[in-house]
Amino acid sequence: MGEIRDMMGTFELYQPMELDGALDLLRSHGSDAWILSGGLDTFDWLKDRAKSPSVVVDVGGIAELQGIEVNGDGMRIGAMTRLQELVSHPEVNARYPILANAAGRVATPQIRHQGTLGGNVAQDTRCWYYRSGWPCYRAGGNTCYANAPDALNREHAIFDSNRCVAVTPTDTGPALVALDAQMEIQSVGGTRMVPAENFFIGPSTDITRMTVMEPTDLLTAIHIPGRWAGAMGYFEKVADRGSWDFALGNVASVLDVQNGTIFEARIVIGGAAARPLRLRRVENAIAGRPINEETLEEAGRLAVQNARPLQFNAYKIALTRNLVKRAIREASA
Amino acid sequence: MDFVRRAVNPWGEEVLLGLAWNVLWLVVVAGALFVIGHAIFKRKSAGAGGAIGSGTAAGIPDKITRHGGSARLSHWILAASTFSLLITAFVPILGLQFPWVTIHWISGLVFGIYVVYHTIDTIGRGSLASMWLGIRETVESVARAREFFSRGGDPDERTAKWAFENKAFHHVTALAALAVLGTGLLMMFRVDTWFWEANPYLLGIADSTWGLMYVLHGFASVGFVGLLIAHIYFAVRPDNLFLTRSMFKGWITQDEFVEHYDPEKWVVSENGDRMPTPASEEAGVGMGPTPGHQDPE
Repeated sequence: MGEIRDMMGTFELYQPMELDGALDLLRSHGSDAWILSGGLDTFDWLKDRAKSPSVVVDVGGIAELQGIEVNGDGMRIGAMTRLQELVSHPEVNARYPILANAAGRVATPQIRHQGTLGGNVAQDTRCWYYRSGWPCYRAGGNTCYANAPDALNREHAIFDSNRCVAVTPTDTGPALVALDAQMEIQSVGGTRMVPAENFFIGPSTDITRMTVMEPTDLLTAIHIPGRWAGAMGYFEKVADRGSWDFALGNVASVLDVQNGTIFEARIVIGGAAARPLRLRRVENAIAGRPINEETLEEAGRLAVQNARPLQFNAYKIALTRNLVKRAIREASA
Repeated sequence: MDFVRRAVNPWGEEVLLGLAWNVLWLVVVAGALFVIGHAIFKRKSAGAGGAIGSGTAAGIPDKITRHGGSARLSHWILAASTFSLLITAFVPILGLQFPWVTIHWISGLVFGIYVVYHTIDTIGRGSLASMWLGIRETVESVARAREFFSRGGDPDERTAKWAFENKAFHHVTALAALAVLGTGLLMMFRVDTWFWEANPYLLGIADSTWGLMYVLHGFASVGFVGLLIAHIYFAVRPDNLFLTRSMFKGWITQDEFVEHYDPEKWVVSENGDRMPTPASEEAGVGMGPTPGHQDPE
């Protein structure tokens, strides 16, 4: 366990009120700067002194990052929008219930009032070897302490691990990927839109990051198109504790069902890899098929193809298979 | 400037991680300075002396085979694997991220297979000793270097097939290759491959020893960058282009032979085939023609 001091190291705190000011600060300080949003991921790192940024940029006062805007058949959600606002927002519930459900399964009401959507998708992994300060691959070292025969890796990845076996802890991420959301990322150089599916990255791409965001980038908003507004959908999270915990596995799905036949689908799982995984093989296999036990069995079988469990997480194969089957069955119920 | 990367583990112990990547830039700058310096010096000393092209064509065929088909093929396989290794090693460090690990170890395996083939082939031909760098050769090389740097112009350029500098370059490259291969093979146990699943503790090597291994791997790797800069520079120099072309076509012309080689030191048969040569020379791992010396053949 890391040396917990419950006392943060010193840093310069900036609290810009304008977006441009925040972007200037990030450009000036680069990788020395740390973006503070809801603080729920940040303060663990800082109090454990596993991360020691010299500059913290608190973006909580920037109005442009707040709030939910309904535009046409889509929606723009500011990155600093509190998770509880998503849970209770009538338009979010009406159009994208799986996002509201996913946000509602994050931690506790108290934490959801503090935590933000941007923070939930941009947070770091909860691998305890990494968070305890071990110099693992993700921390710039040469070892994955969780990927060894006697390592405690019950919560770790069964897919797409590459040296590092950490998983993404986000609950809203799978829902956003399923909804074909676009992430609005700004830097001094301009604004770029990144599909949610590409926003999250695995260790084979960059072992030290979980998203495409560079040190000078700021996630400013999430845009959800109208394609899946009002569609049949399902979100489920499985955790050790019902009250609050990080996901052992979660699933988000949306289905376009016409005359009892699946026309198109999005199925995304979390807690199984370093990023929310869109199960394209399953989506393709169930397209054009009726929702029946045969389709569900096939979907479950395909969902866990290529899974590579570690010493203590083989249960995630059965868990994933069943979550995917439920995600299809319950979405259409 | 830090030459190594370190971290502190949760017990407060300092852990050696590997080479600091600043060293890469140091090597690149040093390589660039060498190239610029050498090019300027060669230009200034051009025409100041030398006895290039004073040989006779009598008994020399029109085309002289310099690199056989298998030698050329293995050279380009080696080149491809080297480029692949360096790109997958350093491009992500420079900021362009992509899934590089699998490509890297597969390239490393190709590189290693080449080294094993090359070694067996050399031993099979009984020509290991021909790559020996003797005292006389070294002394002669130092004398030529003095002559070169005293701006007396290049000495007699006509040489045997390979010169001292070629052999020295080969040996330095071989050392770097053995270092990256030895450490790289051990590092492969830490990643999932087609042959086994990752197990960082399999070999029972301490973290501190792994740190040294990563430093050595990194040091040899950036060394390869410097060696590659030199190799490419000498390959594209106008006075060496005939050699580079021969690595594609396999042969050099009679004129080129007469201009650059001493037929007493590099003996060729009348039909243009090479006389038996060391396999190590077949690989073409060298800097190009250099001032004359007594070829061990």
